[in-house]
Parts: sequence; structure tokens; C-alpha cells
Amino acid sequence: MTDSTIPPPSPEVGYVPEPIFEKPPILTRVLETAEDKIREPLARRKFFQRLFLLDRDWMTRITMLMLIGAMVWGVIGGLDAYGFQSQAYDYATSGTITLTNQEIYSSITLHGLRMLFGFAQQLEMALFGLLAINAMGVKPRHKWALYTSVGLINASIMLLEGPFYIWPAFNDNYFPSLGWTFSSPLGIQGQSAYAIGPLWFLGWYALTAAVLIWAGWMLVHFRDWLRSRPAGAAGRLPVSLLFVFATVILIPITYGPLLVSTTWDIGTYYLGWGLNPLVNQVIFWMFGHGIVYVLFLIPVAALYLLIPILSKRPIYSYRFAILAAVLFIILTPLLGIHHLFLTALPTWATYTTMVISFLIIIPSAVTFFSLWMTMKGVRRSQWEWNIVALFALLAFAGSIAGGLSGPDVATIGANVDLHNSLFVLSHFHTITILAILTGAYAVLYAVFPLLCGRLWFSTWLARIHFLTTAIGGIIIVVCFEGLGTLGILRRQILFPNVPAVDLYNVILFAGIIVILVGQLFFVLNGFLTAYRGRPIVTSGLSFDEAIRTAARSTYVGSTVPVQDVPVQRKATRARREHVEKLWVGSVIVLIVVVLAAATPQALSVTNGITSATNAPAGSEYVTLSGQQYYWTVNETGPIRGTFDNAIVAYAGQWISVNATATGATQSLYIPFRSLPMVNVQVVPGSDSYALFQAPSTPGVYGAPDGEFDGPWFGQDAAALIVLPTAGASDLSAFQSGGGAGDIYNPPVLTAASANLVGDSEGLFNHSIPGPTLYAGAGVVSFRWEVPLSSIGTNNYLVNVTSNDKNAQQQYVIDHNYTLPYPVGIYEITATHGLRLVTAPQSLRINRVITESVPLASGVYLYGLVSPVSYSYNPDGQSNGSTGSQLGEVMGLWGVLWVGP
Amino acid sequence: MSEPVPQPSEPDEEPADSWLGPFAIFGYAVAIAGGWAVYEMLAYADLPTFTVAMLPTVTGIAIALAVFFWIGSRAPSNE
Repeated sequence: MTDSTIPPPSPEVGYVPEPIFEKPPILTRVLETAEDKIREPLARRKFFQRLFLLDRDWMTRITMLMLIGAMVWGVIGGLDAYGFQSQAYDYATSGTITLTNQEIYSSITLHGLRMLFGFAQQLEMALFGLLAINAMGVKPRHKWALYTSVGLINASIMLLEGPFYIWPAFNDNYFPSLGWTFSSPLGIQGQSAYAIGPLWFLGWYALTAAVLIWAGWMLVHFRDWLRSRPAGAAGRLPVSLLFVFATVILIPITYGPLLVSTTWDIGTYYLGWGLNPLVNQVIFWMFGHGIVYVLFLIPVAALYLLIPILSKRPIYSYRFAILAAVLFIILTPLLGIHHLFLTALPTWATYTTMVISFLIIIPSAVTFFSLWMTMKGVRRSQWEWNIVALFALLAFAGSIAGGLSGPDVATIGANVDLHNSLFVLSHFHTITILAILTGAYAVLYAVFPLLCGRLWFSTWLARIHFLTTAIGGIIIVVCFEGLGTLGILRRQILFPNVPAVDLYNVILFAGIIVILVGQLFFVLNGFLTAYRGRPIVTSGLSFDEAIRTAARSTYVGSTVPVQDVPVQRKATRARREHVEKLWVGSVIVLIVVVLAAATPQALSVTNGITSATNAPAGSEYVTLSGQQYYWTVNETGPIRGTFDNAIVAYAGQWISVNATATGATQSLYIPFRSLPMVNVQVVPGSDSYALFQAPSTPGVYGAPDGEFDGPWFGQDAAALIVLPTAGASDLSAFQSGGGAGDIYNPPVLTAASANLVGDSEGLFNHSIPGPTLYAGAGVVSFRWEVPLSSIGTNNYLVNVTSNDKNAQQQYVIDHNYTLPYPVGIYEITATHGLRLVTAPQSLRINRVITESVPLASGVYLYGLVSPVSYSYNPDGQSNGSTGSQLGEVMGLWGVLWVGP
Repeated sequence: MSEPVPQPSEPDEEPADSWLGPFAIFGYAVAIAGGWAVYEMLAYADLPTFTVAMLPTVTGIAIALAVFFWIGSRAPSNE
């Protein structure tokens, strides 16, 4: 390594201390024998021998196994994203969805789990283990500990997928996963309508055990390296290994809270322990955010490794690199609450977390400045733009782009506008794709030839891989950002069918395909390299030279020699560190100034959520009770009454909200653009508050649940119905004014020409709530229909779930095309809530209904205005070991606005 | 912070092709990535809360980028 002074390992180091007994334990002997029995016949077949490196030492074999495992999960995780976005593409282009809500919800959850743990975590373990053992020059030991870790991490991903049925009919969409975002008590039997099976918890335990075992295994080798140094030697770790070491330290700090959170859930689930969902979420997020930094240290370590090697220069400042590593370790565990800024956590907790979230800019600033400065003075002719260098460049840029959008979401005032929107996914995927993934690829391209002893097979495959990864990744990030800016929520498949949203979703799908196909080029190149690549000659080369030799095989016509060059730096350490100090000092000053400027708004937001603010006279007092999957709304004030998923207020009136929830965290989300946005998370067991002013323009404003509280959360959308303060009004001002920019506003249709058609999601015209119908006072007519073809395997309107695709339709036919749910037109009154103004009728399927009713000016609801109880239970497979899913779902309703 | 601001590097410390060297290319990458991060927030400029919630942060980021380039361009080479 360029900037290291590693002493040669002492003869004792790396060798297992003399065992107490002459032979290894019997279990080890059995395992060794079993391994040999499996390996030897396979090693005689060239395919297996080359692919799994079966003729090599055990460390190489296990590392290769981890790399293959990571790539397998990466491909499957990519296909999960493809599966989800293919549905979004279909919904955007044709309004149809093929997969069930359960499959969609699961696919996006499993995408996250497989990518983060099966792929990225496993890849990190493989690469960091390989780098550390080689760079420290110690002999690897404790083979079976490493094998156990590898086995457990791959088993954990399978466990997290949950159960599936092979008989009587194959079913793999049954309660597999809870969700990457842990919304306690979501998933816990007895606490939530969406309960999962025990495999989920076992999966988390297995994952935690796997990673902790690996961290322990690494610590043993760090200790070996320490002991290997001659007495009094001042050897220091290579700079990249500082961050490998930081990762090893962070792992128990990060995974420990996961262990606590999971155990608490299991205790609640099976032993009846008490649960505080908010505290549980805080504990979980110590893991949930920490894991991002554990993985972010992949590109950090990669860049600290590769930039000095490619530059043939030592890192600009070793001591500032140490500072960065230490700060990452100290600050990372303290950031989790910034995912919970909009809950009813105490102000001191959220504000402190905001400050800490800003402080973690410092180690990142040190890192990327030092890396940049390391290259200063390197001439163009001394640098080779091979694939390693290109991926390093992309990881560098991606880290900065993703890192700089971090302070945005970490600013409490801005978090109101960004939380759970697709902006967050833009930020997150900038880090995961354009920093973590690309950083990992930079290292992989550098060390894979050393691992398998062969040079890269194809430069062209490597180039295509780089280009597709870059292009696909950038498309994904840009589309997520565009959708987030519009206010679109993450995970939501039932998004508003407006042109901009549809277009972004189509392009996003293309981006996912591009990046997925691109990874196949890498897999192909990796396979061909292991199978047919030319042998790499590293004898006589230093570690850095060997890396350059490997990187060189991804470049055509190289003229840059791989040999190390002695460096005598002109600038003294004091001068270089002075520059670093100046930079860090500037960053600290900026952080202080920004925090000071952002504090008033931050305190205003958190105080407004945690306690009721004095509402002006004449306010509407709204009590929201969050169910899965709708709000019950009780109103007192000028308007009195009870509604489901409808909040009613007068134009310009102040609305004071007191919200609670059961079953899952929910949120009141009204993504205004020309007015301050409303965004409050409501965690079961705690009260949340909001005080906001209704728009001054009468109309119907969309208010979806901003928390993905289960597979039906797409239907969980309310409406803020703003009535004229006096007399009647039409909707022309509402329409011309853009409805305050709320992307979730239902479209406005003229009642007489409207053609409402129920769809497979139990909605009218793919809109939730259904389109707002407008008519003048007098006889109001409109037509609606729920065709039989809209009833499939998964329409909540028919409480029949089966693996038989015709079961729901057959139920409808058997019940004379009538479902026992009241539908009609209801007047919104100021004193008594809803009043039915049509004759009572049940929901008829496959019949065109033409309503024709004399109505006075006012605002009405039409359709099925109360929730439908639904239980997902195909073929009776719902039980304690597979999980269960109940729901109170509504979607087949809308507002009828009768003007003057 | 008591030491003076570093002076520009001596001419012989700057490679002739510095605008296309790795230091410059990585610098362009920072400019693009940083510019994108600033743009992301400016896309919310139509929100009424922008000035009190996002503007301080995005201004801080923009200034930090400027300082990054200013210090980096005047700092001594790593050679």
C-alpha cells in the first residue's frame, strides 16, 4: 500500500496457536471431511473448479463463494425492482396492474432486503475480508467461523422472504416481509392487521449473527496484525483499512439495536410483552440508518484504497483520514431519529438529531477533500482511465451528490416537504447505486483478477457494464427526484395518472432495465474471466502494482507503467494539514450558520407535532383515528359530524388536528405546493398534532396516507373537502388555480358526461378518491359501473381470496351480482355529518347505473363511502406461522360537487 | 485557523495539462454532483416554506462547494 509502513508479519503471526489437543475438535474434523468430499469431485470438473476456485486456499474459495452469493442476490433483488416497476409502467400506460397488492408490496420490500444485505452487506464482507487479510499480511484462520457467517447471511435472506406454499397451489406472495421501513407495530400479531410469520424474525436473527460473526472474525485478524509487529514498531494500518476497521467497529453498534428491536417484537408477538411502538422505532432506526453508513464505508474505503494506488501518491493527510474514521464511528449510531422527525418525539430529541446529522458532514468533507487533493499534481500522462478509475470517479461523484442531498432531508423544516416522498429514494439510490455499488465495482475490478488469478477477459464487456450502470443509475436517480418534487410518495403503485408522473415512471422503468441488463455484462465478464481469462503474473510485484496490473486489463493501449514510483513530497505535512484545517474549519462555520438559520422553523415544526397549538377562534377541531387502512374523522367546530377518510372544512378555516393510530404508523400528508405542506406521522400509542389553514379556494384536495402501512396502503387516501364559506361555489377557481398544487387531487369531471368505471383495485377510473364530479343545481345525472371483469383475484370488494383466479367472480355470480355494501349519494351537512339522499341500494356488479337525482347546491359524497372488511386468506393458508392480513379498505367513492 | 490562507502553488508545481488531469476531472465531477444537489433543492423553490426551511441548507451547500474549489485550487500539490 502506498501510504503504509507495514512490517512483515512475524513468523508466529497468522499461525493458530498450538491447540490444546493435538487434533482439531471433532466437529471441525467432520466439517473438513465433508467439505473435502464435496469439493474434490467438483474440483475435477473444470467448470466448478474455475468458477468456485476449488483448487485454491480456503480463504479464496470462501471469498469467491461470497461474491457469487452477492451477485445472485443482486440479480434477484434487481428483478424485484423490475417486478415492481413493471406494474408502475403498466399503471402509467394502461391503468392496469397484474400482480396482487401483496406481491407488489413484497417485491419492493424484498428488493431492499436482498440488495442491502444479500448483495451489499455480503459483498462488503467479502471485499473487506480479502483486502484486510492481504494488506495486513496475516494468515487467515477460523475457516469455519467464516463459513458459518456466509451460510447464515444467505440463509437469512431466504428466511426474510418468508413462507411460501407449494401445495395445494403454489403461492409465493403470502406475507413474506414486513417492510424495510420498520413501522412498529406493523407486522406484530395482536397489534396490527398485517401480521407476519416467525420466519421474518428468524431471518433478522440469522442476519445479525452472520454479520457479528464476521466482525469478530475480522477483529481476530486485526489483533493478529497488531501482535505481528515487532516490539516498539510504529507500523500503521493502510489508510483504507482504517475504514475497514471502522466498519468492523460499527457493525455491533449497528446490529445490536436490531437485535433489541427484533427481540422486543418477538416478545410482544408470542409472550405478550408490552410494546411502545415509538421507542421500538427509535431503536430500530439506530440500525436502519447505521446500516447505510456501514455500507457507505464501501466506497469510502474503496476510494481511500484506489486513489492513492492509481495516483501513485500517498493520501494527502493520513491523520485527517483517522479523524474521519473516528467521527464516522462516533456519529453514525446517533442519526436514526432523523427518520422520525415528524413523529411526536420530544423536540430535544429531534433537534439534537438534526444537529448530529449535520455534524456527520465533517468526516465526509474531510474524506472527499483529502481524496481529491491526493490527485493534485498527478499529470494526465501518469493516469490511466481504466474501468477501476472510471468506477472510482463515479463513486466519488455519487458520494458527493448523494451526500449533499442528505442535509436537505436532515433539515427538519425541509423534511416536512420531503419525508417519504420519492425524493428520499433519489437521495438513497444516489448513495446505494452511484456510490456504494460503483465503489464496490471499483474494488471488484481491481481485486477480482488477484482473487481468481486471471486478468479480465474483456475490456468491452467492462466498458458496457460501466456505461449501463452509470446511465441506468443516473436515470433512476433523476426520475425519483422528479417524482419526489411533484410530491409522489415512495412505494405507491396507485399514483395519480397525470402526464408528468406517468412519463417519469416510464423512463424509470427504462432506467431499471438498462442497469439490470448492464449487470449481466459484468456477470458474463466475471464468469469468462474466471473460466478463460489469461493468468495474471504478480510475482515480484507489490500489492499496489498488482492492483494496477489488474486494473490495466480493463484498458486498451495502456502506456502508464504499473511500477511504484518513489514520492518525495514538496509540501510539508504541516502545510498540507493546514489546508485540511482550513477546509474543516470552513465547513464547521457553515454548519453553525445553517443550523442557526434553520432552527426557528425546525422548532416550530416539532413543537407543532408534539403538542396542541392554540387554534384561532372559529377553527375546525378534527380528531383523526388511523385504522388500517383509513381514517375515522370526528369533527367539532362550525362543522360537526363523523366521516370516513374525509376531512371537511370551510375555505380559509384553521384546522386543528389531533391524530392517533392503531395497527401501524400512518400519516396525514397533504402535498400542497402553493401552501405550506401538511405532513405528520402518527405512531400508535402517541398523539400527534397539526394546525394548518385550509386553502382559500373551495375544492377537493388529495390527502393520501404517507406511510406504507401494509399492502393496501395505496387505497388509503383521504380527501380534504374545502367548502365555500357561504352560499354555493363552482370549481372553476379550484381548477384554474391548480388545486394548490396538490398532485393527489382527484380529477374534476363534469357529472353528466362522466363515465365512472370500477377497476381491479376497487377504484373509480384509477383515482383515489374517485373523480370529483361537478354539476349545477337541479337534476344531477351521472353513470357508473363496476364491471365483472374488474373483479379478479385480489379486489378488496369481494372478500374471497383464493389461488383460483375465478373464485372472486364466481362469488359475485353466485350472489346474483350483488355485494352487501350500501352505495348512494350522501350530502355533507354542517351539523350531522353525512345524510343519504338516494334510496338505499347495494353494490351491483356488472350493471350500468345511471343516477338521476334532484340536488340543491352543496357538496356530496357518492359511492361506497365506508370501508369494506377484507381478509386475505387464500385457501385457508392464513395462520400464525404464515401470518395474516386483515384490512378495512375503501376506494370506490368520490365527491359530487353541486354548484349554483 | 491562525495561519494565513495558503498561497497559490508555484507555477512549476502545476502540470501543463492540469485541465485534463485526474485532479481536474474529479473536480468537474464534484461540480456536476454538487450542482445537481443544489438543483434538487431549488426545484422546491415554489414552496412557501422554501425560504425558511430549505434555503439556509442549500445556500450552505453552495457556499461549501465554492470554498471546496477555492481552497483546493490554492492548496499545495501532493507531489
